[in-house]
Amino acid sequence: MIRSINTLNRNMNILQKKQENTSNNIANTNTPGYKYQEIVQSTMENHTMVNYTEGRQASSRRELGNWVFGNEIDQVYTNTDQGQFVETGDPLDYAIPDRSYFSVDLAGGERAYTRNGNFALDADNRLVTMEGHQVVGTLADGTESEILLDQNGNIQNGARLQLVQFPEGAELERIGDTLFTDPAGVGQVVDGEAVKGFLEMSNVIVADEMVRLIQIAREFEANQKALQTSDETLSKAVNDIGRV
Amino acid sequence: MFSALGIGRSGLHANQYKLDSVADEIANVGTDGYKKSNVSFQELLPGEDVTLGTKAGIKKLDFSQGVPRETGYRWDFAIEGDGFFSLVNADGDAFFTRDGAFQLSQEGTLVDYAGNALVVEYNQDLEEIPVDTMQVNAEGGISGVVDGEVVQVGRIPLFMPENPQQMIHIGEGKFLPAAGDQVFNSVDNPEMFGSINQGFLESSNSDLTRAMTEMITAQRAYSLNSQAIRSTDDIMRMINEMKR
Repeated sequence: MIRSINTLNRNMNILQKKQENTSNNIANTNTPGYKYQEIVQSTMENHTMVNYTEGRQASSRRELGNWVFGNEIDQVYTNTDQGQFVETGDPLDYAIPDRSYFSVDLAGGERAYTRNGNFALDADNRLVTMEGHQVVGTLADGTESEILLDQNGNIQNGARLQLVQFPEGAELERIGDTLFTDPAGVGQVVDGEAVKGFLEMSNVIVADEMVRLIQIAREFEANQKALQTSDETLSKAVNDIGRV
Repeated sequence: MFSALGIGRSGLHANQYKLDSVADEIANVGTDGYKKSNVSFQELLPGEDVTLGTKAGIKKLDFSQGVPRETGYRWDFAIEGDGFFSLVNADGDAFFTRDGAFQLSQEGTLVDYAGNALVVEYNQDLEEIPVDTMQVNAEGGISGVVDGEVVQVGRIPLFMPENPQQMIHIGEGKFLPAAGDQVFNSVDNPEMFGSINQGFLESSNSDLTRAMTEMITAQRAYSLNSQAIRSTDDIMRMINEMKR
């Protein structure tokens, strides 16, 4: 009985996490380059439950079967489907038609990757992200360089925006600001051209998120009902059994 | 603590900000020299498992050309191409504007509607020249006719900071160049600047159709976020009702 309360508690914690995740996807429906996340849950490893009816010494060991202590979050999965392209006409906006990513230099010298092509000009006329991280370009001879622009957003130093592709299933780490890092170092620079004047919007599917909101609330309700029932049964066991 | 409410709130804030900007653009559809600004969204930093919402407010100033509108008035100027008029207020502070509606002050200088002086290199006093004969050419040169002879009265220089995106918008269509940013003028670098059209004003560069669609998107995103908050509220109520 007390076990059931524990199991339900675990479930509710997962549902709360899912609610946070759905809220977050909803909050980012208009964030360019945002990739929605899904929380995948799984049942925990099962354990064999054993009952010794007449005490351990009497060795009347009775196997009750396998027991699962509840569910847990298996993984938080980032869906990398392409978002819709929107024509902005802004010469500082770029979108990638294939599955590659833009390379960006972080302040600490670390390399990050993004699908968010909503760029700006910094004080030295370099192409930077909205947070001021420098966008990495490739020169014709293959060396890396910064990207210098003129007032009208035309590239001055002959560099192209560097595009990097990751093999299917590569584990990219999400660091916020629609940036990802590649801890395994599996990214490959590829030949490709980003489209100027377009932005890739968020890939959140609003209707799905809406359905998820309902689903989570109802699942939570069901768990709460189950919890109340357990509580009532427990109350019977504690207060009523044995009453003359 | 359960952060879904905070995430929903971040979505409300961001979309509110977007709506403010869109409202500003719509309100200024008839303001001469108005330059719209674009609000974009960005994902926040990741918390435990999921990202903690969205933010907005990183603005890009959009200096795209507004359509020149003929007024026929002598002291109305529209810049076609790059550049800004420079104004000096009573305290001697200089700022830039694209709004070319000027008038002749009692002192015989060109001022805007609020009495801020337009920066002009005068060769001689405007008062000595018959007003009806004064012409302003594409380079900003002011000429007049005195006793049948053409006299060069002065020149209206245009200015351009090295990085217009870094300018500070101080309202009323006025911009301050960022501290330390190099400022070019049309006397030394004529090739960088557009031309001045006398008798024209530059209309607002508001894009009403786009603003309206952006308003609808932002409004819907706003309600979506409030829906997420409501659903989170339901869950929290259920938590509170667990023990009756």
